[in-house]
Amino acid sequence: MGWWKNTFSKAYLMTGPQMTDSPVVSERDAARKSRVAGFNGASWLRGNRFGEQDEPQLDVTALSPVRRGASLVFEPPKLSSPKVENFIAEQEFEGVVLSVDEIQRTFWARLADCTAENPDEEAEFAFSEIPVDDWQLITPGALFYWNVGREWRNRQMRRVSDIRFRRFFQFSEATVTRAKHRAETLADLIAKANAYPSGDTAGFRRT
Amino acid sequence: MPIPQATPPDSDELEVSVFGPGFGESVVVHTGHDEWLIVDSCLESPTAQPKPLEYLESIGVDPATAVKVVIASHWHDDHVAGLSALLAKCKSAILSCSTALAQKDFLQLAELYCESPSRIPPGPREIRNSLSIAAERSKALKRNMLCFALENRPIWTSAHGRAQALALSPSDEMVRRALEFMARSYEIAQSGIAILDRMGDTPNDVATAVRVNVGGRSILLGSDLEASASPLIGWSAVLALPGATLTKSAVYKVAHHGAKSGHQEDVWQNMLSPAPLALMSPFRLGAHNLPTYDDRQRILGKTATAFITAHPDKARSRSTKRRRKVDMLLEQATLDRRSAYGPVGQIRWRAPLAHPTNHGRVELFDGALHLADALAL
Repeated sequence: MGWWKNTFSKAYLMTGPQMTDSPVVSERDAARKSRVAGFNGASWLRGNRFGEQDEPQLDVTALSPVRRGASLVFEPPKLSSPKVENFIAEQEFEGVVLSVDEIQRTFWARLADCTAENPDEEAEFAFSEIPVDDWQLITPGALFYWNVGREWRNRQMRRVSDIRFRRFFQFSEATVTRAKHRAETLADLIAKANAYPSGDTAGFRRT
Repeated sequence: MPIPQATPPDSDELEVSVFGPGFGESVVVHTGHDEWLIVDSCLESPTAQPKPLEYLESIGVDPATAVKVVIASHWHDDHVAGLSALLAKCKSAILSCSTALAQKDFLQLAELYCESPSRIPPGPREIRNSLSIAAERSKALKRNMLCFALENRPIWTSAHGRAQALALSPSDEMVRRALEFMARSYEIAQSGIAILDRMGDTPNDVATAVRVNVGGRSILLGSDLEASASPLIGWSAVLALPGATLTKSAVYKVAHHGAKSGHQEDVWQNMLSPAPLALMSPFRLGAHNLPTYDDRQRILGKTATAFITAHPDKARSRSTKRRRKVDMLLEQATLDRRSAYGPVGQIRWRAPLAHPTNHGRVELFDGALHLADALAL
């Protein structure tokens, strides 16, 4: 393990359990950190020399009901985190999970380079690279984005590797209609082709 | 004395070349008299031209006139990489694929894939683009340049009838299952569940196994057809075809990259000559390497003349070099990382057409090796 592994801090951007500070979530967050650091011996994570300074400073949000018109409603906790002043992506990948090893807690993914015209790659990741809340999304076929870059918080720059799983994907109605229309056009073209005499070598010869 | 790779076959010489993996697998067959068949396509790198095309041009064959048929054995990414580019260059070739891939449900699904913001996977897009090229070609030539494969249906017959490619699969039941799956997938894709990349996991219900009969010889190209206990699907359905076991093939492109799932004992017993020439390419995707060590031993137990285009376990090319600090972070975040592409090996078998009993000659290029040599790392 190189010296540089301790000089980088790993950070997840605005998603994940650190977005809220309710007591329940804080416990879960602590458990997450414990699990993440524990299961693969991620010493570079534990050895983060800035320690807890990197954790977002969170606002306290009361979970008591508030009056809205004639009703009392429970508002979801407000989300807050330290402000990212700037983020420069240096490398972006789109990935698809190929296989998952639940015992080793690792997965293989195919990566398409979104930054430059480079050949696709394959990579093996530990679950610890992914926020615990996203672990349920790690299934074969799942799509994710992997951004590597520099971010500035409190005028301090740090290198960030951020993997986010796509939670939901839906084609718009217009897209579905367009796809259907194109499929019909191609089907028509194929049907017309089928009406012609065979184009194989013997077919040419027969006519 | 070794023959250079760029030497074309004689006019009366039969050739079967298997390429892979790079990304994918491809088989090129010369049936004599400058008539060529190509099954599937593979790429050495995404910017390179399809390997079969590169090979044909390197031996002085004009793909525009010499390639008579391009067969897409099924839609999986490792069989159709660069297929549409290949077909576009083979200007007089017909396209053959499973009849299930010309049905509305697949076309709608493939069109949705084309609309997907995701760059992965290319398989259905390649099939869709290839169908489009072939249909447009039909319109221009006023000839049907599409031939949909179904069990026991001839795909192509040479000008003088001396060579024929016969589809052995898919069976009616496989087509029915494939269509059912596609309809379901299309419905799910519309409702928004991210299943778009799951199609590779499905059974190969559209896999087209092909038998090429030429000059008294028979070559069995196993595609990714899987073994099955049901007589309605997979190899069992092929074995149940009338006359399927009457001809014994002496050359076999081993099904499903030599995996156990593609192995059916009766195929070796009843459709192949004793100790046939077995050719295969490995499958390497993520943690999956095929054929496994056990698969290799099993195949070698069937025939001593077994060859593979690359070592299944050896690492592929390194991943792309990037800026040092970016590379460091990528290394830090991954346990292992490599290019999805890499060198393409070639196994080439040539034999004289006039002498069906001549065993011919096997040549290995670019890392291809005897399967026994692939037992050790």
